Amino acid sequence: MTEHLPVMSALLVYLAACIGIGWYFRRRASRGVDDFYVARRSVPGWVVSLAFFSTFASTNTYIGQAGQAFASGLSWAWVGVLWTAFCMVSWLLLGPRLRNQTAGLGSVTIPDYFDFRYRSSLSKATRALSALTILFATLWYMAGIAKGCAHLLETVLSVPYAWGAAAILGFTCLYTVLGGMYSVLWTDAVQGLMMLAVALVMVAIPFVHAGGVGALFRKLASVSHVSAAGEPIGDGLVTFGALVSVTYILGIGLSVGMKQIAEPRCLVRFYSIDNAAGMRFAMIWTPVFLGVSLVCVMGLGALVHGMADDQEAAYLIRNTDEVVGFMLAKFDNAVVTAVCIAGLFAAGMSSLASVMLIVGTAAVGDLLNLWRPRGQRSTVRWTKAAIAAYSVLVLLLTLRPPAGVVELTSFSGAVFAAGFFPAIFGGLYLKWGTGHGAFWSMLIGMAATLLWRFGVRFSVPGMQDIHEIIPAFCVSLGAYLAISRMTASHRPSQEHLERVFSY
Amino acid sequence: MDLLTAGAYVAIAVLVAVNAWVVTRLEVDVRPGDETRRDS
Repeated sequence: MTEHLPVMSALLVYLAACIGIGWYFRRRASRGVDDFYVARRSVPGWVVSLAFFSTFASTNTYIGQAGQAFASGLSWAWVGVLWTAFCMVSWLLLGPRLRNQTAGLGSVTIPDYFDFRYRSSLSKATRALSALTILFATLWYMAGIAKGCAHLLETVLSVPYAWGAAAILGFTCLYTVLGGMYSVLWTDAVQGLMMLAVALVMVAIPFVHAGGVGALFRKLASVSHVSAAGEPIGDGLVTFGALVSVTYILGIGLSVGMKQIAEPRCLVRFYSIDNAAGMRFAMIWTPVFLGVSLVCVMGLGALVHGMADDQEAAYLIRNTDEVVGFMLAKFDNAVVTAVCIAGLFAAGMSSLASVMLIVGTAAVGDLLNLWRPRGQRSTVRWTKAAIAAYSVLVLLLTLRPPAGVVELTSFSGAVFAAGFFPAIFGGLYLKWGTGHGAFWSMLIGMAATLLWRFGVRFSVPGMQDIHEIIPAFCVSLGAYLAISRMTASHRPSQEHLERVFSY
Repeated sequence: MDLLTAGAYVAIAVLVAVNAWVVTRLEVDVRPGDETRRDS
């Protein structure tokens, strides 16, 4: 028990802070939908900036992607370049426009934006379809993160897997239900700061262990370990493309990076910024926060080769999710481990809380209220109940996770990018975009994602490295443009369009 | 480390620097927070 004291203490302080933030905002969040769903669009830019970064980066980044570099070498850092570029695109192209249009339209969720912006006979169907997509695709994502955190608790603190999963989901659900968007954003900001610090600490570990920068790079320049294919790695860790193909880097870089321009959990961040100064701060600093953390994390696995002997490397190359845990165990410093574990939990919980709120608002604000409208306070109460019920569902899935949850998680990112982006971008920039274009591009994008994934990618030789996001995104965007042109008669009134584009 | 591999780290630094430069030259307009209204 005493050996777990530093980690337990760090985790308890962190959890108490999260619950405290939720408790502090509990009254304000219960006042109505504008408070619970978008924090009355009054949150400082620096908070939203850190929240965007911590929501996008999760345990998948800090454990999965960091470990992937063990097999792929330092070339894996190019994935981080694409992610940083999409972060910039998201804030430059979508941030200010989405904030202004949604405030003007009174939109508080992404599905209701489609409804209010397009105003066509298919608007309600588009809203319901996008809400259902959120409810379905998010389930796998949340289960994947809860599973990762529960395994971490089991490994580090010997907490049984089921109890760990219940604890992580229970605590996150509690502060989300208490403070709505207020507590999600403020806890995300705290978690973002912790994640930045932990990224810097983690990248220092292999260098300190090896005795300096020069010493580590001399080791990495020629290692005796073998690759996943059984070939000697030699100088592959520091040679571009030696251990991983450019198309694979492009596929993961696009499919995950594009979440920032399409996933509701990221986009809804824009709704809550208080003013122009806050927006400008976030536009500049969010790519910096993400870029710094990715510089530290995306090549980390490759650096860990300097800490592993041949036998350990042979195991880790086939189990890259265990690379970060191995690094902490090998470094064997209780305080460093405690700080890193708390940071890894922060990475998981920040993403979990954000998606919990999104599923609650989609289930009640965009589905139940569409069928039977409720008052403000009743909607908030129902949303809280939906978040709690969905968390129980995720827990059940986490206890018996189907094979390939991690794969399904990355697949859900492609569904959002292909399904949502054309309708969002077109809604913000193209006056001639129509509700029919939005609805059909959403359906076609999702169908193309499924088709490529399950009918082409792993069935047709040579297609394995071409991620479904690439063909599905092109098809969906093309469908939006073509169908919008063909259904010009379904455009909203000129007066409505003038008002939307004046916001 | 070869040039292309090192280039990833340089590219991230260049991207965030260019982004900051662009944003400082952009006119950013955001309506104040509490003035939300429902048109629909």
